[in-house]
Amino acid sequence: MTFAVLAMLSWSESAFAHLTPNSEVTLHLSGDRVEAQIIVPAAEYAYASSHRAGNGETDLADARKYLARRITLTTADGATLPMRIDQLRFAQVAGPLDLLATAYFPLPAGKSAGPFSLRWSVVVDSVPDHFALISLADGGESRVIGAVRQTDQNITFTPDPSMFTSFVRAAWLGAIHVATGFDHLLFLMALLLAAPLAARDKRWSRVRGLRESLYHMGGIVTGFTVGHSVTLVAAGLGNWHLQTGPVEALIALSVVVTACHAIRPIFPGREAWVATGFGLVHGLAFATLVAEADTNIAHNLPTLVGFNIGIELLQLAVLACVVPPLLWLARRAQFAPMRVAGGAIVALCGCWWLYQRLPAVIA
Amino acid sequence: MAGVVPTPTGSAPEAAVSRTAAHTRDERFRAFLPSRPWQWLLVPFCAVMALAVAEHAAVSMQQSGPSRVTRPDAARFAVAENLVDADFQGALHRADSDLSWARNRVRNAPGQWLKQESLATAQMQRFSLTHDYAALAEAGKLLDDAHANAPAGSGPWLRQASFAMMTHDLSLAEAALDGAGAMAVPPPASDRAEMTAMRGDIALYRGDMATASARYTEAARTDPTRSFAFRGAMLSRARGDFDSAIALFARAARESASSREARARIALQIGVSENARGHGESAQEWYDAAETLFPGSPITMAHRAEALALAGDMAAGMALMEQVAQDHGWPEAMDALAMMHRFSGDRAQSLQWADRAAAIWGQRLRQAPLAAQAHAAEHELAFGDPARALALARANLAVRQDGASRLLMANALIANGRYAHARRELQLAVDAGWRSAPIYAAMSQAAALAGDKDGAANARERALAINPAIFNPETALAWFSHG
Repeated sequence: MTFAVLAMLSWSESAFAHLTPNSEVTLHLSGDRVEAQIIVPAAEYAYASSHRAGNGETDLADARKYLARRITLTTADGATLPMRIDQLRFAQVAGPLDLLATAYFPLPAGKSAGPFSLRWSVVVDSVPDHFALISLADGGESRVIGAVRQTDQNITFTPDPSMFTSFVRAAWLGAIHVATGFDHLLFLMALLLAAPLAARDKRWSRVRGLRESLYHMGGIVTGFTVGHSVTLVAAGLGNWHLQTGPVEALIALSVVVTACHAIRPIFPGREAWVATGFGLVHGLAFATLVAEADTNIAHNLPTLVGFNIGIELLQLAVLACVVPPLLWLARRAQFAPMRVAGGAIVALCGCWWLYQRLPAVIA
Repeated sequence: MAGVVPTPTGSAPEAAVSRTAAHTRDERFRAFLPSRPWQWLLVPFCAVMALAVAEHAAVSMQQSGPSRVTRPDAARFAVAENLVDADFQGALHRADSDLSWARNRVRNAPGQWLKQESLATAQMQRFSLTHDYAALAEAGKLLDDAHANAPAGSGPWLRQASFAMMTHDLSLAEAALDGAGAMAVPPPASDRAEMTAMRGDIALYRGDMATASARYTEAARTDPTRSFAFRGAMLSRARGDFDSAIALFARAARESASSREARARIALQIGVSENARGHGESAQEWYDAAETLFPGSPITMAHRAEALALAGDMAAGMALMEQVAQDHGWPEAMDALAMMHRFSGDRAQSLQWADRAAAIWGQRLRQAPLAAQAHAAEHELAFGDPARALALARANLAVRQDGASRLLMANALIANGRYAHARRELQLAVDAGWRSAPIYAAMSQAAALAGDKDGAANARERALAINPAIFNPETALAWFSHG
C-alpha cells in the first residue's frame, strides 16, 4: 500500500456536534401576572420524558404533569408563585411537531417589579445539548435574556427598565465610546486646530478675531454633529449591516486628511462641510458599535437619541477644556510650530490606524 | 540655420508660456474639484454609498452561492475490471491474508525492522477498513519496535508519519517527517513529494490554510507525476468552495484512485460535499454510487443509512445503521442510531445504543486518545456530560486548530453556557478561512444566546446561503456527512 493511498484513508470524518432543535420560552410581564409562552420540540419532549407526544387526554395530562414538575418561578424573597398551565397541545407551528403551552403565574401585590427567578428543567435535565432560549417580551418586540441548559437551569430577570433608565444608559454608552475612541476626538481636534486661522495663498496667514473663531468652531462642531447623527439614526433604524473594517479605515483616513489640513490648508473655509461629510462616516462607526453593544439601543429612536446626546455631552466637555487654551495660544508666536507638530502627531496616528485597518478592507 | 536664434533658457516669454501651461493644468485640475462647499459633502457621501453597495453586492454574492448539483459521473467513475478487491469482503479477506503473511515473516525473522514495518502497514490497511483500534495500537507498537531495531540513518519514518496522521498525532507526524528527511539514503522524489504534502496536511489540521495550500503546490512541483487533487479537494471544501472541491475529487478519482475502495471513498466525499450545500438527493446518489463501486463497506452503509433518514425514510435508515452498528461495532454508527431514536422520541432505544457507544469510546480513548477525543466529545455533547464534552473538545483543540475542532469547541462551550467564548472560537475559524453552514449556524445560535439578535440573523443568512437545509430539524441526524 503506497503512502499516498494511506494518506487518503487517513482523512477521518470530522466531528463537531449537531444542531438539535431547542425549546423557546417567551415571558410577558403585566401588572398582575407573568405569562410564559412555551414551545418544546415534541420529539425532544418524548425522548426526555418517555411520554407519548399526542393530543389524547392521557398524553396531555402526562405533559401537563411533566411541565408542572419542571417549571418554577420565584420572587426575590424566595416565594414560589403558583402556576397554571393553559392551552396545552401538540401542534405544528413550523417544521415538525411541537409541544405548545402557556404558563400563568399570578403576582402578589407589590411584587411586579421583580427580580424573578425561573427554574426550567424541561428536557434539559436529561438532554445535554438541549437548551431553552428565554426571551422577554417588550411591547411587540421580544429580546433574548439568556438560556437554560443542563449545566445551568436557572435564570433571573427583571421587568424592562423604564424609558428614562434606558435613555441614561444609552447616553452613558455614547459618552464612554467617544472618551475611549480617540479617532473621533482627534478628527475633531485636528479640524479645530486651524479653526482660529484664515488662509491666504494656500497658507494659514492670519488669526481670526475671537467672535469669528468661535463662529467658525461652532460651524465645525455642528457639522460633525449633524453628519454623525444622520447616519447613526439611519443605520440604527434602518438596520444596516455595514462591515466595520471599511468604515474604520475611512475614519482613519478622515483623521489623516484633517491633520494635514491643520498643517497646510486643503479646504480652507469649508471645514464645516468637511466635518459634516466625514461626520456621516463617523456616524456609521457609532451605529456599528451601538449595535454590537446593545441591540435594544440600536433600533430604538429614543435610546439612539440618548446615545447621541452622550456623545455630544462628552464632546462639549472636551471642547470646554480645549477651546479656551486654543484661542489663547492662537495669538501667540509659538502657535505655528505647535500647530504643525500637533497636526503631524495626529496625522501619524491616523496613518497608523489606516495601516492597522486597511488589511480588514482588503480581506 | 541662419536667422534662428536660440532663446536663452528662462527668458521672459518662455517663462510666461510655462506659467500659462501650469495655469491651464491647474485650471483643468480645479475643474474636477468641487467648486461649491456643499459639493465637498459628496466625497464622503459617495464613500459611504460605495461601502453600502459593496456590502450589498458581497451579501448577494454569498446568498446566490453555488447551486450546481452533480450526479455520479459514469465516465469518470467507470470501474475497470482490473481494479483489485471487488467488494468490502474481498478487501477484508485480502487484508487478513496480507496480515497473516506479514505476521509469518516477522515470526520467521524476529528483530528485522523492515518486516515489522510491513506488518504495521498490514495492520494500518486493515484499520482503514474496519476501524479496529486494537489493530491501530498494534501497528504503533510494531513501528516503535521497528525503530528500535533499525540502524541509524534508516527506519520506518514515513510509515510512522502516516500512522501519526491516522491517530491525529501531529507532533509525532512532524517528528517522523523530520526523521525521514534525515535518512542516510535520501528518499526518492515521490516520497519527498508525499512528505511535503503531509506537512500540508499538518498545517491544515493546525488551522493554517495558506501553508497547507503552499505545501500541496510544492509537493506537486516535487513530483509532477503524482496527483494531489484529493488534498486540494479537502482544502477547497474546508473553504466552502464546493464546486471546486467536487471537480478536484473527480480529478483525484481519475488520477490517483487505483482501487475500487479509493474510488468509493471519493464518491462518498463528493456526496458529503453535496450534502454540505443542501443537495441531499445528489448526496444520496453519490453514496449509492459508492456502494456500487465497492459493495458492503460499512462506511458507505453508514452514509446511505443517514441519507435515508435525512430524506424521511427513518425506518430504512435505522435498519441500515443498526446493521453497521451490530456487524461492525462502530461507535459512530451507534451514536448516529441513538440520535435517530432520539429524533423519533424513543428514549429507551436511544440510551441503549448511546450506552454501548460510550463504552467503546471509553476504550478507544485509552487506545488512541488523540484519534478518539473529538468523536468522544461529540458523543458526550449529545448523550453524556457537557463538562466532559468540553474537556475533550479542549484537549482536541490543543492539538488541532482546524475549523471542525473550533466548531466542536464552540458547541461544547455553548452547551456549558459560555457563549462569548464560543463566538470567539467560531470567529477564529472564519478568520482562518473556514466556511461551512454548521459554523455559521453555530455562530447564529451563540449570537442569539448572547442576546445579539442582529448577529444571529446575519450568521443565519450566511448559513442558509451555504446550505438552505441547515436549520431543518433533521440536520441533527447528520452524523457522518455534516460537511
